[in-house]
Amino acid sequence: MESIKRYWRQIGFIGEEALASITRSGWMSWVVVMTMAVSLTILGGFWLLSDDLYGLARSVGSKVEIMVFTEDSANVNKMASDIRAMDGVHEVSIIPKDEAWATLQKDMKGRVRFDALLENPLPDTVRVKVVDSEDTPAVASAIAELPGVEDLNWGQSLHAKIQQIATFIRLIGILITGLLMAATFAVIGNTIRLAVQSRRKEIEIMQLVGAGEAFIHSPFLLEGMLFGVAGALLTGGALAGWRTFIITKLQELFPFVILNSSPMVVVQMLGYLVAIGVGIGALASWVSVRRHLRRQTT
Amino acid sequence: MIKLKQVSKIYPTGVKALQGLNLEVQAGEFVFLVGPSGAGKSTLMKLLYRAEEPTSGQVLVGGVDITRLSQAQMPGLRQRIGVVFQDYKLLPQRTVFENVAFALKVLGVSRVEMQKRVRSALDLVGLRDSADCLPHQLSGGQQQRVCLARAIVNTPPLLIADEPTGNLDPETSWEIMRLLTKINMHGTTVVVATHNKLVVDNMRRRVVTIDHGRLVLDQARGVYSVGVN
Repeated sequence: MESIKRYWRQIGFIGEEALASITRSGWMSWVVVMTMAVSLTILGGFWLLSDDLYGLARSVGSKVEIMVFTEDSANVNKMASDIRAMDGVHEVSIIPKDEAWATLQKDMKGRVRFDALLENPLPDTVRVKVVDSEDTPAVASAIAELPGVEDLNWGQSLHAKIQQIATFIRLIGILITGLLMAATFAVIGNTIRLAVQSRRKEIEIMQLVGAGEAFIHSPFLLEGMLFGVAGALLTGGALAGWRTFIITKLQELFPFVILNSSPMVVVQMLGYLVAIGVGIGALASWVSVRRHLRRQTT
Repeated sequence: MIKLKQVSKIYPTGVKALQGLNLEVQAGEFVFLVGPSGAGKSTLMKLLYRAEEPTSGQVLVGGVDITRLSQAQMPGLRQRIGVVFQDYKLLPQRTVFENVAFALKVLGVSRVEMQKRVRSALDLVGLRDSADCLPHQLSGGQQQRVCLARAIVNTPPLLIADEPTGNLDPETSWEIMRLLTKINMHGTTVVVATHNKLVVDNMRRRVVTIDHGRLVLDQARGVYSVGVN
């Protein structure tokens, strides 16, 4: 029982020392928290933006209708019933190639001369309607697996383009964040180094009166982690605000698009950001403290 | 309490601080360590609380060979040794009370226990009324007494003082020596490295003389040796 109490009192001591160090560094602590917040905001911002674009790609890029062009030898009726059995499929109809040919000739009358063509060049077509446009890419790829399918058309090129943009944006975000994280790492490391130096005497005396190495390191580690938490919380505020704005704008531009606007997205993102912030803070402190304490003792 | 066997210390710079030194100190003894500057006194002291490691030989403190201690076992050793420095090593932004309490806080001693122990340590060194002062408000002798209080607050069986009177006038030096004697009478083994001939000659305690890293004289009730200073 006494050993547990002792443990808690030591943790309390570590906490006091970490907070005292943060207040003592004052301005420098602000710089650290802001740097952390900026890099985390950029990471989170790009991430959310690309998330939204992926969502956009799913809903805008996909039409509700999939046109399936068959090979000449294909069993169209069997294919239609296979498709009908798939999840998310609303309606399946067959357009025989003669009908399609007739429609095309009617549509193009006067503009194209069809006399030169002896044979109907069109394949049999299956028209598939899905229940939800979000399912279109999945249904389309399942249909593409069926035997006798020559080609599909469901607006995949637009879908692919938006997806490419989203991936590109995510990549750029990760790249910029990587650079900023390196900067954050350096700033935190430097702050902790200064803290270690300003507490040289305390550290020396701690070592003399028999404090363990881990115990001496802990206040600095905690300090770094607190920087991470503070930075991430600021980021959370910024992202929540920015996202509310972006979502509203996007909805104005594309009222028919349903974006995932639930606050859970930001909350989840915040969880990741806190984890990343704390990780970077702790790692930077650890590296810094180790280096400077090693140099000091023996 | 202390046993040094064939201890040598050669610093990376090539300086031979100690060469094959043998020394034994019984529990409860009061020992002066004398010798000229650079004789190896400080190095010997540092070996005792393992601020330095010997190049060769054994250093036993309380029956344990401390040269074999792992990093994790160091705190245990340090908690059993009080150290007093020439320059006091007090924390300037903390009060006298906090300076002495620091050692206990690090060890997670309870608030009530801490109050009690710090008070009695300050009583012993006669600084009860200066508990709320900052170090710079005190005289050198008083600061050294704070350092003493911090060294003994955890009631270590061994107290090491490296030139404790180096910065003090004769009058104040005597005060510190009286305190060290008092602490010794409570059963603590005390080792004092010093240059102070006057003090050594008048105390009539065991005197170990070191020169060029070797033990040259070991007197039971000695004086600061003539010819070595």
